[in-house]
Amino acid sequence: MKQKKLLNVRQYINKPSQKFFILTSLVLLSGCSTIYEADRVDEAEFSNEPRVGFVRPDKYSFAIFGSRSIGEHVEITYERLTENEAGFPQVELGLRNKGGQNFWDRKAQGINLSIKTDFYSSPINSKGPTGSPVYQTNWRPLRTVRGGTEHYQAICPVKGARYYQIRISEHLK
Amino acid sequence: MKYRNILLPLAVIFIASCAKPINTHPTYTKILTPDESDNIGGSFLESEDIRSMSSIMAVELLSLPEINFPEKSPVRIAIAPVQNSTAYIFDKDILSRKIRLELSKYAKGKVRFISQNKASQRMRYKIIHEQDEANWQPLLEQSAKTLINSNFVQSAKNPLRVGLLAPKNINLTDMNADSFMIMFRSELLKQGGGNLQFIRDTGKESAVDYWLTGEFFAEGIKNYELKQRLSSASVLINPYVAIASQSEITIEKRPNVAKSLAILLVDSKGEQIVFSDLHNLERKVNTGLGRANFMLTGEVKGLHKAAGGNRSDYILVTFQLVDFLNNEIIWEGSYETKKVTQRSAVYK
Repeated sequence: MKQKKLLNVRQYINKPSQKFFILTSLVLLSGCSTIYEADRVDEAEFSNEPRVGFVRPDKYSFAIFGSRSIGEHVEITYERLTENEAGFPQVELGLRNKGGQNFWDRKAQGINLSIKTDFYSSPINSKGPTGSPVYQTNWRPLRTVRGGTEHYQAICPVKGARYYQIRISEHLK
Repeated sequence: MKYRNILLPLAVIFIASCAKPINTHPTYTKILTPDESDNIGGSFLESEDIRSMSSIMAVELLSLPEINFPEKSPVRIAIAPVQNSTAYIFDKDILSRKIRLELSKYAKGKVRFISQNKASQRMRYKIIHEQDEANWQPLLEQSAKTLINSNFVQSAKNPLRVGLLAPKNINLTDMNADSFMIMFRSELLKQGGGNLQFIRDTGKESAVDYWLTGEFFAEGIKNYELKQRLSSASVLINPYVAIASQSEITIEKRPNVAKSLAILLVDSKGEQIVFSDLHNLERKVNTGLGRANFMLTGEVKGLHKAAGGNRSDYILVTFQLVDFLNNEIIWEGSYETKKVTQRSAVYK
């Protein structure tokens, strides 16, 4: 009786369709484990990230009707890392609101941005930052008036931070 | 038909699988970073402004030569209350607190702040007084040892007869002067080894060689004023004492003054003080503000405009670092915002 039952099971498993079903079930069930490996950032993409970068808008409209992308409205006039009189690293960035320059962008006005700087003491190499930042500013609100240039300045209170990354986003909301 | 056996279980597995998208709003409350706008409305200072202002000002302060290259390290700063001159009611001390946090984090010991928290001051007051109280017995032991080992006790041919006189108690507050003298007498008897004999008050001055007495005094209590009030007032409450009548004195508060006891041994014949030992029983608890080098103070000013449902606010926050010795402003920083809203909000 027992042998007959085993035979039935073996025959069931040996059917190609049943094999496929069992295999699929195992694969899916194994995906339900509590802990799974986190994805790593793509090194190639990460290394291409600029020192001063615009964060993409939270949503796009169809490009022909104008985009909310910051890059279409704001350009960098200068960027430099110096030391202030006390010897603290100081980043200066000029942001010009170039205004609407296309026929579809006639309503461009002042833009509210949030800007954040991370200072690093370890180099940012081809794989991105090699350590955690020694100082981070908060996301500071910055309003750029149409046609005007805003002079953003961030001073790091930790001496020796020679590397930085600036991120400019739409006003955080 | 061939795949019917497969499709059905697969469909069930897919439906019941873990492929549910992540729930970004698991509760009614949305978690924001302090730099994000809450979209509630309002045109006053927001958390992002406070964070931006404090980080900018803290770095400016740390860049000052008076702090970065001080003559004497660490630099001690006291914080004066921020003055709010706007139409909004809010916890204005949040501004100076955030600057203090930023400075404490990045000054690396160059800057120290004087604690001005009232609750912690009360706890500090208790701790110091408990430490003082724990020190009373060793003080009396030390004083007794000094008296026993003094020349006139050691060189006496016969045991000295000592009477106890009630100590003069100038301190009308919370110390039982008699109990201190009794504790001291016990200590003398314990350590005396027969060199001292205490005589009960017989009313005969000739029975004793010396009188043991003392004087309690508290620095800073205006004794004469208290006496005047005692005689004239029927009900009086001052910061230290509540008096319901001339005969009833209730201690309302332990005065924060240094309290001392002078133990005296007086020659019963010549009324000459032959031994005196002064002990500080309780310290005056200072706030520490006297050690500050600079004072950080600030003010929030506003220009408010409203029409219809719209409201506009220009806010100017200024902070100054003042050298209190010469009242010079050695640094001044400002942060300003202008916001217009169609939806006013209440700030608290």
